[in-house]
Amino acid sequence: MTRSQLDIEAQRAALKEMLALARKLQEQGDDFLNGHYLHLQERIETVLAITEVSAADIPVAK
Amino acid sequence: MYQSRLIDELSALSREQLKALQLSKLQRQISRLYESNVFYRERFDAAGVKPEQIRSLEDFSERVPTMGKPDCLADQNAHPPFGRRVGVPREDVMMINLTGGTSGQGQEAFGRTNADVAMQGHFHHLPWHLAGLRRGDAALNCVPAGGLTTGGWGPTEGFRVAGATAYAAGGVMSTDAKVDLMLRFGTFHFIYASTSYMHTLTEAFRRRGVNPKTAFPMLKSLFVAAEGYPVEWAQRTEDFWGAKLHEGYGSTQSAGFCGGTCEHGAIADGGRGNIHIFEWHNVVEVLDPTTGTPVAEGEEGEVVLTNLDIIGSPVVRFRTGDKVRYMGRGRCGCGRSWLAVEAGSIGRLDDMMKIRGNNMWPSAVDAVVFRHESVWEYAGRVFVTGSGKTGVELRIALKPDAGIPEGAERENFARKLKADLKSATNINMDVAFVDRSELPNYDYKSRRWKDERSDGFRSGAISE
Repeated sequence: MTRSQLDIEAQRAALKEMLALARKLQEQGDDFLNGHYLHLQERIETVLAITEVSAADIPVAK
Repeated sequence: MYQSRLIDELSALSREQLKALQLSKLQRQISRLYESNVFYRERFDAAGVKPEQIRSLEDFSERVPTMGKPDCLADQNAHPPFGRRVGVPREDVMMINLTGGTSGQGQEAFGRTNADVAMQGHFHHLPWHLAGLRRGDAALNCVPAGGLTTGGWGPTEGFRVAGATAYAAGGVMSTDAKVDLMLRFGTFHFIYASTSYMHTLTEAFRRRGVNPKTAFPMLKSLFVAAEGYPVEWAQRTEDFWGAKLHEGYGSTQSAGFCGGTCEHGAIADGGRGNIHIFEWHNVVEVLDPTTGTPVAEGEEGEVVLTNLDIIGSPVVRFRTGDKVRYMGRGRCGCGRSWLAVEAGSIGRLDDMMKIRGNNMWPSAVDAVVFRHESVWEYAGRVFVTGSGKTGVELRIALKPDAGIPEGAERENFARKLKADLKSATNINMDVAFVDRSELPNYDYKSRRWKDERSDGFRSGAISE
C-alpha cells in the first residue's frame, strides 16, 4: 500500500503548529508533566532544525 | 516503498545552495552565541568581530579565531563545572558528556540540552540511514551504552529514532556471548562497532566455525568508527560477512557523527571510499595545522569544527587534532556536493592512539611509569592477538639499583603499576620486565610506542 507523503514545506508547517501547542503546554500545563512537555517542545524544535533544507528556512539569519 | 524527501532534497543540493544554507545557519548560531553565551561573546569581542560582520564563510574563517582543548579547560577551571561556554541556564542541562580525560590535561565537560540529546540521536541516525539502516531492522550495538560519553548515549537515541530493534550488547557481554546472542535471535541487518572490535567479532565467528553469510543472509551493513584500517582488511571483512562496510566520523565535540559513508560504502573500486560531511549541521574546515590555510584536494589536514545546531556547550572553530585527507566535493559516484574526507585513514596529529574505544596518549602512560624512580625505560606495543583482540603490552627495564628483586616483590610492583595504568587510561595493559639492552635508545624525541594493529588486520586469520 502506498501513502502520499507531504513535501518538506508542508511537514515544517505542521511541525510549527505542533510547536505552538507544545510551548503552551510547557508554559501552562501540569507541573508533573512539565518534563514531557519540554521534551515535546525541544523534540519538535530539533525536527524543525533537521528539516531546514534551504537558506529561506532559517528564521533569524542576519 | 520507503522514501525520504528530506534526504532526497539534501542529497540534491547544489554547492551554492548548500553554502547558502550553511551560511544562514552559521549566522544564526553566531548571533545566538553573541547574545547568550558570555564565553563566545568575549572571544568575539577580543577578536574585534561582530555577528553582522560574518557575511560569508570566508569572513568566518578569516575573522573568528580557532579554539582548542586548553581554552575549554581554562573556562571550566575558572567557572566550574561546565564553564561559561555551556551558554544555557543550569536547569536546561539534561545530559553531561565528558571527554576521556586520558590526555593527562583534563576532561572537557559538555552540558547538553534536551534538544541536543535529540540532535545526538539524529547525528547517529543520519549516517546509519545512508548506510542502509531502516525502520524494523535489527541492529547489534557493540559500543558500550550509557555512561558519560557521547558515544554511549547517541547510538541508543539514534537506533530509537531510526525505529530499529537495537541489541545494546556493548560492554555488558563477552564476544562469545555476543555470537551466542546473534545466533539465538537469528536476524540481524546491521552491526555497529569500533574498527578493532569488528575485527574481534569477525575472529570470534571464524573461531567458532560460524559462517555469517549463511547464518545472517539478511545482514546489510557493518558500521565502524574510531580507528583506521587497511583496504585489504575492509575487503576481507566484507567478503567474510557478505555485507557492506561503512564508516562514520565524529567526536564528543561534534555531538555524534558529523559525517558518514554513502551507499557506496567505505571501499569502492578497490580503493578507499568517501566520508561525506553533514555540512548543514557543521562547518568542517580541513586546514594545514601549521599555516591554518585550507589544504588542497588529496592532501591531509586538521579538522577544525563548528557546530551549527548544538545549543549547550557548542564549539566554534575547534581544533580537533584529527588528521584527515580532504577529498573535495562532488567527486564521489553518489553525486552529492557535500565535502568529503577519505574513509579508513582518519588519524591524529598528535601521538594519541585509540585503544578499545579509549583515547590514549603516551604522555599519560609516561606519567604513571616514570612516577617510579626504579624504572629506567619502557616500550609499549599495541597489537592484535591471535584471537583478534587488541592487546597492549609494556616492556619495562628497571634500574640496576632498583631494589625490586624478582619474585613476590616484583609481582607486587607489576600489579600496582597495572592498576595505576588502568586508572589513568581506562585500559588494561600487560607488563613484562626486560633487560635495558632489549629496549631502544632514544637519541631525540622518544618514540616508545608501536601500533602494530594494521599489521594484525593484514595478517589476521580472515586474510587467509
